[in-house]
Amino acid sequence: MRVLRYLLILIIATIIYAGDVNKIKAEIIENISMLYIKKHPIYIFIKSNYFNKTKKYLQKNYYFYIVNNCNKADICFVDSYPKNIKGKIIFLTSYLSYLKNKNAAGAFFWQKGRPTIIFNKQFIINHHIKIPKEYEDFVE
Amino acid sequence: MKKILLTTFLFTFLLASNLNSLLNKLSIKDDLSNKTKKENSGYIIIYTRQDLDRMKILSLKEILQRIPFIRYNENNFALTDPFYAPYQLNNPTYIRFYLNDVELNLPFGSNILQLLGQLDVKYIDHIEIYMGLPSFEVSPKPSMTVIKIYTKKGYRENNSIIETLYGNRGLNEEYFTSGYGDETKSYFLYFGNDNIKRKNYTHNNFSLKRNIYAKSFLGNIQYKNFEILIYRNQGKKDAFIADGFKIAPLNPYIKHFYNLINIEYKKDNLKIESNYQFGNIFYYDKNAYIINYNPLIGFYNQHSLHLHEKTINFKISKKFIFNTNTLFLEFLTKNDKFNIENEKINNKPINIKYLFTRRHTNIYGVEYTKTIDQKHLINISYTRLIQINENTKNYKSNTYRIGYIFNNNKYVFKSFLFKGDFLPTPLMLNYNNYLNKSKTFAYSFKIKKIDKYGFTSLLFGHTNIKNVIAFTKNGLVNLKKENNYDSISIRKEINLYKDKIIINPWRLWANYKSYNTKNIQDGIVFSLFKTINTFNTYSSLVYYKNHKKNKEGINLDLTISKTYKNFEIYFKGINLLNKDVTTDYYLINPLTNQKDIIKNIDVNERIIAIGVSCEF
Repeated sequence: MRVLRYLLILIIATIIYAGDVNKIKAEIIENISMLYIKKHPIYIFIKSNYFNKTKKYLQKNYYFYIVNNCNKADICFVDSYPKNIKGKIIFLTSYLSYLKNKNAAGAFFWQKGRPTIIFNKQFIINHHIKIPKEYEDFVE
Repeated sequence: MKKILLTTFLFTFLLASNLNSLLNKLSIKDDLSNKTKKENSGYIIIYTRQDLDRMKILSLKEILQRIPFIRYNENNFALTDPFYAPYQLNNPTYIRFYLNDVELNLPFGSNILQLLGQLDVKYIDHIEIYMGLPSFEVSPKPSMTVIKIYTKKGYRENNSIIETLYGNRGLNEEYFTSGYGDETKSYFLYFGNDNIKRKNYTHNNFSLKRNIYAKSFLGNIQYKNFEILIYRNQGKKDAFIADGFKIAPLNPYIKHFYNLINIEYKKDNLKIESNYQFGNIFYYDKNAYIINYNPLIGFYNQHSLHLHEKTINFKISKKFIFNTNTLFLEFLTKNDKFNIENEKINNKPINIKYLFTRRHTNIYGVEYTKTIDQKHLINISYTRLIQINENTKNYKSNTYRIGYIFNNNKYVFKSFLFKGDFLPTPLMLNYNNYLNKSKTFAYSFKIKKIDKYGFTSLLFGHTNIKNVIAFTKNGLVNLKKENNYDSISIRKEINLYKDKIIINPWRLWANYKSYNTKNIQDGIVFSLFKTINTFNTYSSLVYYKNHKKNKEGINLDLTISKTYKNFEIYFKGINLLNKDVTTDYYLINPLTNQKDIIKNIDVNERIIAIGVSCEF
């Protein structure tokens, strides 16, 4: 049942979110979050210039809750690595911040005019996260 | 346990396909052109970052060739000039050229497109082309075509690239780009070195050269709401046949130095912008026979001068939005200064008194847009220009445009009515300071059908120009009769997952009543972007025919690129069939009326080059 429910969420999300840029961004956040966290609802914190406008799309979704503090979140999408936060999944949305903070779970940024995602290999190994074969190019 | 495993499997399966396609979708939807393009501004063709990455264009020349109703051409100095006609002055306002929304212009009459049109453009993220007179924006004066190039942004690059290109005839170019940052602060730098060895000719034992050597720098820094853009370019161009009574040049050349500094502040709907542009152009011409005649000196065969041009612009604009109404206001003030120094004839200094050296322009623009419902949009624009020329005639000009746009996601209909003026440049006024402005009137419409894979569009335009400024037996004058142009263009774009096809036939009917002649020009642009295994390919076929001149040609371009980790290697071929349309040049001896003609000059000669880039 659970599997079907997740399937349904993904299919509905794909249909609903197709088109608008911020909707596509919201869908990327959902996908990344679901990869790292295998439960629902997923509590998400966003403090990112690039992703800030996706909140309104995620807020409307029953399976993802937007919280206003990284401490209360399961996963945080942030431009710079937050201080005094431990044991949280930090996904950076700036390339330069990622270069400085290799503890992050991964990063989203633009490179050579294209959007890019990196999943931190060390983080994935340490946290026993299963990455699909098709994502292997993203792992480094 | 089984359930968890199955969940994980399904998750990962769905995510894999989703995330990849989402990134692909995002790169198209969030392309920077989607942020800069102004659909209300008229009829637009966009070359996106993805297109340009595959095309690997060597210069804007390749883009100019693909614009409907334009044929790429060069003047007798081998400078880019699509409207080239022998013994006629270039009007830089016919094609306006923008860099990051800053109009590049030098006030005396120099054309920046002429200076930069053949140089490397690796700093470009995307290009927008607004076609036809109605495609004008508030404040600037009218233009036949507007070319807007937008630079790469540091926050979209996050890398450094070094690249080199080698081609036939010893062509070699080197570039370095570096850009890093995020949406709040970023920088992008570009250094380029062009050594363009062009196909040279020999005529009556005289060497006609067109080589270009240039160095460019571009710097773009963004910090919160501020953006600074610096562009510098300096180079030397061999001036081909230059001027004279006969085609007998003795190594004429043009050296140029162009500099732009622009500072911009943008917040919500307010934009404040100030820029300073200056250019130094050194022109040297020497002919084995005679270049010209000066009443003070007589006939001469050597001429050189140093032209200094400066312009300072300040622009402020604000958009007000009330429900379905949008009001856009803009004010631009501009101070121009220009002078010619060290003018020499037969190596002797000569002091020619030019008409004026300063000009001040104020431009007030207003644009009102009413969205009637989600489908209908009315757009009314008005621009008032006041140009004060020191010691000579001043100009006032009004430009109007009314547009109606219908959009229901399946069909788009655009229609514009336009009225405006082309003003003479200071260079023209030096020939005749009684010149009147050229008056233009145009109407046009475009219907576009959007389908799942792209669109099909039909564009029709009619343009009328009165008081055209041209050289006749009486010197530079306003022609009494008008010119009429009718144009039609059909464009089909098919976008597949990674591939793209563009087919764009067009026809232009020109009726030059002053000369009592008519002409028809035809063109077809075909482009194919295709990914074959791990190779990205771009092939393009451009056909052009000028019925009156009986000139026709076909240009086949091909680019194949492949990426290996941090390296990219590419092959670039231009005019591979060597059958592109050619140009005939001539010089006239006014004493005997004898024409010295050189025919079938390739303005777009065959280039075969290999480039390698390394990302780090």
